[in-house]
Amino acid sequence: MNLDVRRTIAAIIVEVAPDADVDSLEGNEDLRDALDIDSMDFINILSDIKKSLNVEVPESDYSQVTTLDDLVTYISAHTPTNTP
Amino acid sequence: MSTLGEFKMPSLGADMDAGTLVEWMVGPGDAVKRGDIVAVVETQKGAIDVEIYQTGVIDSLVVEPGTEVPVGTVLATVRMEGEDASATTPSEAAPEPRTEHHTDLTPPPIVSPSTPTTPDAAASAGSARPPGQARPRVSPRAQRLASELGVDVSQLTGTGPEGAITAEDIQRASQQGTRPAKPSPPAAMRDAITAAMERANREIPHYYVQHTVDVEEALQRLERDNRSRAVAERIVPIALFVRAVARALGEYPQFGGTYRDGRFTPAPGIHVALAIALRGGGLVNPAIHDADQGTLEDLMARIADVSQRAKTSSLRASELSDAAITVSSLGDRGVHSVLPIIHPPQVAIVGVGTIAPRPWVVGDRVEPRRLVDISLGADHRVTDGHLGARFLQLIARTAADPDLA
Repeated sequence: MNLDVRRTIAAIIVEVAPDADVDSLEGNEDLRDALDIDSMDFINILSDIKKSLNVEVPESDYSQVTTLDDLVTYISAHTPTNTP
Repeated sequence: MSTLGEFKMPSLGADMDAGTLVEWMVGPGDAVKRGDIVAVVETQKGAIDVEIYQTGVIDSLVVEPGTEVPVGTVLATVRMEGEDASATTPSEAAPEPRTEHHTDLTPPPIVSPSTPTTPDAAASAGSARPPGQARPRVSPRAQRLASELGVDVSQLTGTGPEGAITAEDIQRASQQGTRPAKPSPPAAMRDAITAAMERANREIPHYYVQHTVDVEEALQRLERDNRSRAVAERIVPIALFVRAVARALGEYPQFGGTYRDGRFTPAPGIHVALAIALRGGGLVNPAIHDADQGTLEDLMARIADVSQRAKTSSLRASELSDAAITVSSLGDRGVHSVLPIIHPPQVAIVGVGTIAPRPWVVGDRVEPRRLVDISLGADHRVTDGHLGARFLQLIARTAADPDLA
């Protein structure tokens, strides 16, 4: 389940920031620093995550999603268990 | 009685001498109105959609796609009813304020059209779009794929939401062998930036004033309101600064305009350019017209839209030719302050550093507060430091005001 989430998130990042080197991103690196992703791109990524995985990350939780590992963990933990 | 107007190659930047016409979006006999996008022009900074100034019917296309011509060259003629045939495009003459074109942008999800009509998805690739319609939205990934595979995005009809061009559309077109595009090489953009910055350093006597602003309350207000907004509509702090600069220009017009041939000309409107850094290197500076108007949400939508189009090389000529001033922000991952160089022929630039919590005196105590260092670089031929300080003070007060957040 986590692997699907990770793959989906990675695909979203590639879509929003295609020239970012997502393949060589370490799971515990600061995602935005490593890929040089600005705040607009970050909002687009979160917006796509909301559309694809139905999880919304509020601004107050931004500090919990700084690395890809953390983002995957957060999204997986907040994924609704009942699909409508 | 009708007259023949001329649609000319516009100047899209301080040092642009020539541009290459890449594609016509209209043909002889097509009706056009002011603001319609009629051509795509390739510049050192990428492909730009060019709007027409005249209203009428296209009479003839003078220049063939693929031709590089000097700025001012007649590209097409337009038959107009009862108008002055010597009307020139706004980037050559002092333009009237144009309000119709930029006030109704829809909030931008990643992929959204700039016109309401949807191209027929069943139409074959390369079918003509209605005159005046902008190129359809293309996601950054699709754009990059197009560059890699040599696919000309402007020829495609997208199958994504509302006609957007997707990566799959690109793949399909690549296999069908459409005419390859020639994207601007990064070196060309570097040359353009070099030319502009060398000129600025050589010609403009800069002075700088800086100020540290406590934006804690404004940010708390922004965060509170963001909780009830959809993710894609969250307002980021840069909107506060663009709004603040736009409003302050209303009271200090000496900082908005151009300096040419020994004379300052105030800008035709409060058009605030945003310096947008491109990930691989490079910089584009599209202007947001009438940035003092509309709500903060409207402004944020326009900032997000223009940032997105800057990254996918989908900017319009009108966004690149008449900025009053530029705002250069380091975003939220930079360093405390930036002292930017004015973009000629403008006369001022506002730098915004990274917002960060720092110790600050509040009342008689020291507290952690989120602070930002802002700076003003200005042309000393037009203004002095005293006026610059007042202008920057007003920007600071306006940006920090939580009631405006």
